[in-house]
Amino acid sequence: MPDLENLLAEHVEEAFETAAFIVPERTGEPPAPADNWLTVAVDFEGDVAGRLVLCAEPSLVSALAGNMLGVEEEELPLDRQVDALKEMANIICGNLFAQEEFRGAEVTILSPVQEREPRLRSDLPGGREVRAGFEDVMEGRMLALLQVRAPVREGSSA
Amino acid sequence: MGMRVLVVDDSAVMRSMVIRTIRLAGFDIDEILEAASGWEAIGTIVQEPVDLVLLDIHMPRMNGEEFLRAIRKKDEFRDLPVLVVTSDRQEARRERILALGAEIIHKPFKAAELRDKVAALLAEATHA
Repeated sequence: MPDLENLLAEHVEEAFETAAFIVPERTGEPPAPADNWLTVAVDFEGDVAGRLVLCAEPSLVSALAGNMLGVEEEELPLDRQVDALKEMANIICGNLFAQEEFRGAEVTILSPVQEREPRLRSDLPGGREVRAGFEDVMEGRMLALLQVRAPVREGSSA
Repeated sequence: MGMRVLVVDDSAVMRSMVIRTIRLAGFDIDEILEAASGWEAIGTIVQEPVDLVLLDIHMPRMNGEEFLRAIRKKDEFRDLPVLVVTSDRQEARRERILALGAEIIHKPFKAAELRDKVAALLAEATHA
């Protein structure tokens, strides 16, 4: 089985650095989100099913959107900021499935949505779940969750 | 005379990011149009001819691949330059997009990568 935790961390770091010039460093212990943190989730279905969740401090989301759009953070309404975090989840998810570990898998990535809190899917019992924490000293902290399961296909004796 | 470019993405942030990168590159572009779905994009290009389409793949109400299939059936859009801007790196998807005569750039992209791809496709449109 692939080292999902490192895979997730690498793709989070790469996406934030390339798209938004933010370099989040991995923390030893994943942070516990506060009530005001912003959460987005993107589900995927197919040969591999699961969910990717990003939950970040408002200051980090604001900086992310400002950097992606090249505007002052104060000018951006909250829905634009959440849109930026959704796009980042979409990018990370798309890049994950290009890795050797998932080669040949046909996966449909669904549209990212905003959630009230970081939660995984309840319809995928037995899936693998990993989490990673990040911190940018200037902008704030973030939690990333990844849930992955290869579903049992019809007709399978497994 | 300047060109007209259509940017199609359901994410307003991503549309803004792509448009900003193109504008900063200083291309001879008269107008950059926007659409949030393949369906909306078809409505746009039928009414207002464009020289280049930058197209996301994962969108509600007609995704990018469906949009490409639809326009390639029409003579007037068979050779329209299309640059697919997507985070989807699955090989099967890539092959289908290339077979539909589009170029691909993956998110997250570096500004210079996008500028180079757009420059090449605008040059192609100029000489068509």
